[in-house]
Amino acid sequence: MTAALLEDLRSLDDQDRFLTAMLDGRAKKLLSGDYMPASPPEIRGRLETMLRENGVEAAEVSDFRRLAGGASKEQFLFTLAIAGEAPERFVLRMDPTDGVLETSREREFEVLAVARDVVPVPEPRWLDPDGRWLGAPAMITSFVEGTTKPTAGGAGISGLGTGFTPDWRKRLAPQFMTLLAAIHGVDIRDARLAHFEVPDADPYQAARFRVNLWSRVWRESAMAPSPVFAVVESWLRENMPRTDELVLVHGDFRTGNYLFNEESGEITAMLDWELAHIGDYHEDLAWSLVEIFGAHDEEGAYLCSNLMREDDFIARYEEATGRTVNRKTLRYYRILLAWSVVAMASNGLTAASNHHNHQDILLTWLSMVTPPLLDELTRLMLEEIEP
Amino acid sequence: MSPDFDLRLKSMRRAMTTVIMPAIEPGNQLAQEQAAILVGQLDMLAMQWNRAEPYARLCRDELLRLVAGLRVAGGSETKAAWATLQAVASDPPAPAAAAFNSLSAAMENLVRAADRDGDADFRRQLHRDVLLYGHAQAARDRSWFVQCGFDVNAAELKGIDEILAAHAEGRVDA
Repeated sequence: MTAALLEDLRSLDDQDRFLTAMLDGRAKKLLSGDYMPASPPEIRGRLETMLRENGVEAAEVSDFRRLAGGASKEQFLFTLAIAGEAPERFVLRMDPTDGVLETSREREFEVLAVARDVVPVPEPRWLDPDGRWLGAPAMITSFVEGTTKPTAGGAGISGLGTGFTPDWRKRLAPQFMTLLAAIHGVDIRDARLAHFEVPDADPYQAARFRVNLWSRVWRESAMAPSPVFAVVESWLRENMPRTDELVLVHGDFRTGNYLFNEESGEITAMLDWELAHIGDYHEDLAWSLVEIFGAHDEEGAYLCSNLMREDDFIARYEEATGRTVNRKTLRYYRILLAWSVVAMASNGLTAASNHHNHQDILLTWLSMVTPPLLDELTRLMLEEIEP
Repeated sequence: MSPDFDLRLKSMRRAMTTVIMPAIEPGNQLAQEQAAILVGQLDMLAMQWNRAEPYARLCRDELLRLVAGLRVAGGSETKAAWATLQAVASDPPAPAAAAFNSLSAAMENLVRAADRDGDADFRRQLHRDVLLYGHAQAARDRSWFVQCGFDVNAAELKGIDEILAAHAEGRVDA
């Protein structure tokens, strides 16, 4: 065993304490029986109570209905009419027992409040951090108009395979980069990020937090064993990069996770902040490099997030932020991300197998991303060990 | 054995697309999405059901081939993990899918044991062998699940029947 690996195996528990507490809570939830989603009328009744007890008087909830999407959360759309104000639409996001990943509505609520200072996001309005009103942790945000894909482009579940024409790429790519640069400019010491730990104990803690998180998820809920997963974990522990500048990492920054107006071409909201954390900016760049989140252009070249070729993508980021992209670090995070999505997919299968979700069939379908991910992962790893 | 699997799957698909899906309330996006996925799953099952057993045998045999090529060296934890793996490999459980899972678990355990007290050269070789095996297995699984549409490089894949035929003929390019 190498000294680096020995040291790292001793620090398996070194993790953002808020995520540790969340995963400790999840371990108890996993012992529960089948998840039976409450009916929309039932949730609507609970919602009205919650709003009333949060000072929203004389309000009427209408058009309350379930939304598709949200691979890990239950989502509802509703209209709220408060006396004397124009009716407004809102989105309710609520935790099932389990899904592709366990995340915190409290953290998501906090990060939305901070992020909306610099990028368009749904406005966080009400939070039920422990499910006292709605029966499960939940948050309510404003509803933002927009689409994740052009009408003629087509896309699969969770934004995978979104098709953009060259014209759409030209319109969206600069905005995509502007959003990323703005997010990475957020003050990570902002007091509103109360449930985010800053991994600054040593220069390797940012990477170690991520490896420890997904390693724990795998240990506790992988559907099937994988020797490849173990080999990659060893390599990740022995090759952690330094992080010399910590930023707010969105954690799922890619096409499929933003809305845009199809007429104006303007991005109207960055979504899916549940994986946000403090970490290395290379991690957000790497999301766009994971192959399942991209596509090929008309000449057969790979496009990051189906928007830009890799060199262009990196050059634009360096220009927008003044930072230098370290290709070796970027490659590390690409491997880490592909590895973590394998863990998420496996966790989703376990959730479906345990009947712990309202969309078992979706989780089962999404888990089929694993073979292309393992193809990419093993290809990258073989290049690492056989340069 | 009538009605057979193919007819039953086709009937289910037709019921979904001509009766059940049109009856879903237009505003019920969740039901619409789940119904569409259900049809996709039926299409995949129609392709896979009569190939599932030979495919599981192929996957099991390739994992056994990996095990047979290992030259294990290390301390007590590595030796214990190797003994467990050898026991599973010498008498794999049935059916083949169960054998594949048992072998994978024992192999993952060996990788983790080698991290603790495996000889450096063995560990290096083990990692390389597992990655090469994993890459080949990923290629097979990509072909197996290609209908789901997640693979951006699907054009490079062999057909599943070609892969199964190679295995049946004893060729190692399966």
